[in-house]
Amino acid sequence: MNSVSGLAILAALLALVLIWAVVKYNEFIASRNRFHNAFAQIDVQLKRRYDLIPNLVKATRAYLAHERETLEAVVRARQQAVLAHAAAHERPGDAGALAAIEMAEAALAGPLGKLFALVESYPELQANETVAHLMEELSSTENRIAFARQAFNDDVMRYNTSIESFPASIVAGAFGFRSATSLRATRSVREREAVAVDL
Amino acid sequence: MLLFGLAVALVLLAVNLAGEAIWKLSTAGAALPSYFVLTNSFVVLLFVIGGAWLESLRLADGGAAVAHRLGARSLDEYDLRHRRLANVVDEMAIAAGIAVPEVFVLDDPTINALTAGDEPTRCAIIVTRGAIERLDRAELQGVVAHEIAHVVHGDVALNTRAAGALYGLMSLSVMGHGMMGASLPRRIEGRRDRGAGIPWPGLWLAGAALVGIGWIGHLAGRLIQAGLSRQRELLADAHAVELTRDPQGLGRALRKVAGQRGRRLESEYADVVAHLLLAGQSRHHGWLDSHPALALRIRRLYGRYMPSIESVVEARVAVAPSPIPALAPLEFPAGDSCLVPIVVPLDEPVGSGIGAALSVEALVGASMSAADHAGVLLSAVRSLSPSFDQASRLLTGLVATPVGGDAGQAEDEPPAEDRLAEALAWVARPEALWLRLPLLEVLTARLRPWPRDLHERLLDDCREAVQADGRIDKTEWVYFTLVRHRLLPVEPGREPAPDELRRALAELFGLAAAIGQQSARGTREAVSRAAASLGIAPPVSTSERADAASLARALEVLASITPLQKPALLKALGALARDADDPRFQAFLAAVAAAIDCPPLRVRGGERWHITEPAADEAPVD
Repeated sequence: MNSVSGLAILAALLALVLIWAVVKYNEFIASRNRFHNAFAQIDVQLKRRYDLIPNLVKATRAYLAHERETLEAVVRARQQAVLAHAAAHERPGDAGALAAIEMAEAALAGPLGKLFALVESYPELQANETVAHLMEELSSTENRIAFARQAFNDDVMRYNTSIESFPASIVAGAFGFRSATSLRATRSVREREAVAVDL
Repeated sequence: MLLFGLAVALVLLAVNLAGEAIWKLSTAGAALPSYFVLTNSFVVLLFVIGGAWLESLRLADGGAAVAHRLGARSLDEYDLRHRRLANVVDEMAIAAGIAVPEVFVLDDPTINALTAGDEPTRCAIIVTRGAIERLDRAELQGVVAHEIAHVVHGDVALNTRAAGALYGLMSLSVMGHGMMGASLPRRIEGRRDRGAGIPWPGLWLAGAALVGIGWIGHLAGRLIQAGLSRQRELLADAHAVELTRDPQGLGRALRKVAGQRGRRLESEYADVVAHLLLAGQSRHHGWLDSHPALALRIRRLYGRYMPSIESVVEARVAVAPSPIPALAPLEFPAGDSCLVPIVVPLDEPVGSGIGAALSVEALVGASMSAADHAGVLLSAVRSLSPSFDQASRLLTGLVATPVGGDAGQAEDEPPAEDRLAEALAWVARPEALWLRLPLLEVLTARLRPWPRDLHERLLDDCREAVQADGRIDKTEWVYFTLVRHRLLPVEPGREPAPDELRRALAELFGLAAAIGQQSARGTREAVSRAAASLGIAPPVSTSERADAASLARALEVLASITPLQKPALLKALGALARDADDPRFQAFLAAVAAAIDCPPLRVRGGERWHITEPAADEAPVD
């Protein structure tokens, strides 16, 4: 009798632990999908930026004829970034490809910021509705990239915290949840500066 | 819920006491009739609970329902400011990782914003016009982040449900205000509102009494709002800063709110949703407020006291109003989908304003003043600000032929207004008639997302403008019908009876004959041809004097004939012109075609009508 009830209690405890483990496991999955989604969001916005840049260059070319180098630099840097992006898509999860994107993005930020500043210094360009709309879209895209990075980092941090906290870390370890790396914080700051740069 | 019950009890008590007092006073102290209290209570309960229930039902349609109740409009993607707002909302939704809410703009000069919706995925953010005009990007971002924070915290669902209950409590007072307002000729947005002409003291008194009683419900409602939302506002502020990583944006926005003079929203419904707003409605802070004092919020954001900022309406973000010559060549060939199929007469006699206009580009070069006017109108139509007056002015200007002293609505605004007035006068001239229809189409397309009651008011304005000049220009009615058809589309009804069709033909052909100066015999022939194509017997005679109602009815009936019958009808109609090149008649024909949903025909002289090619890649910028 005693041993039976003892067994029953043990079984109940075990069941509880099991239920808790399942709940935790599902939480981890949800959390991981969340930051994967956040990463996809960055991807989308980068693509959007590549699409917008040629339009801005085209719309401003006539006004900025003597600023040819800046425009060409933007176009070149964009080309590099597109290539790096495509390469990263062929080998998803490859650290080297990701680093290449980071590099290309950093190289694009400089000339693009210069172009923004140029447009801002030409009143007739600002009065052009097409250019104004493009500028708005591009600066919004810059912001979206920054915010998507921020959301990604927040989500990664939440995920890491949840899988590394003590009792749950056992479940995470058993099912092979690894802590993820967040994007470097300096990048997002530089992205923001690119918009506000003043020559 | 407990508070709500308490509040209802309070209102019941107050109503009964008031009723008793009135009874005692008016009957010199006679005993109360039996069931007095019961009847009173029942009626009040019916109002409060019924109102709350109805409102909750309405609010169950999500945030968009609240936006419509407030009279807010959807965003306009051509407007740079609206575009910026939509972008900011997208950005903040990305930062918070939630679904992008719908965005609406409320035509109100103060800075405010609110979020409503019963679930996080069906939220709507409503921002006032004042906010998008007076706040810069960072500030707008702060405001939107605050609203998004409400969504993330789940405040929105709770608050929206509370709004339903509050509506019940406040319904007496809202109704009273409505009655008082309806009894007086009041001014809406600076114009006299018609339809409520004679002051009616009885209604006013009843309204005042209702307001008096409703005031208690109002007070109780305010208390509930205060209890619900004050702490949450501070939380949302904090979360907003977490999202933007920038306390300055929201801080400056709140300081600008503190710096503006009047800050009440001008909607009767606004009190009901006060607890959803970014900033409270009242200036004096007390325990009834739905929001913590602005000074407190600002201090928490900055960590110290900051003075308020006087805000100014920023100059339009981009489109400078002055350089039309620079604007026009950039505008037209941009391949704007709305404008590609502009129909331009090919070989207008030289010197008739448009000159030898081959395409719009040639038009720009040909006659500077015409191009100027066209450019002004086009940019006015395209960059329509969300202000009702502006829209009304444009629409009435395009529908009705303005007469000399039509300065009734031109009030403020510098030179751009005069240019617009000039351009509107120009477009009424016969040589510019062809431009009216495309402009109207663009304008109505932009106006369509506006709420229905505004459409009705716009149409009222149009009707008045058409009738104002005293002389009956019948084409005006065609334009009016077209606008009405676009703004308030009627359900496609049943097949019209032959009788109705016959009457409609009589009306329309009578009018066309008058415009085309066709002889009675020619008219008869055309009518019988049209009737034959519709498979009915021709009407006995054409109508001599068409008025607005019958013409509108005629066009409505004719809009419901089958698509294949319409071209035949238009062809018959086109035969009515004595001079097929008369621009007036051509414009009339095009308007009729648009009003019955049929593409404009190449009727007699149709070779002269020419669709401009979309000038794809030859932007003059290059």
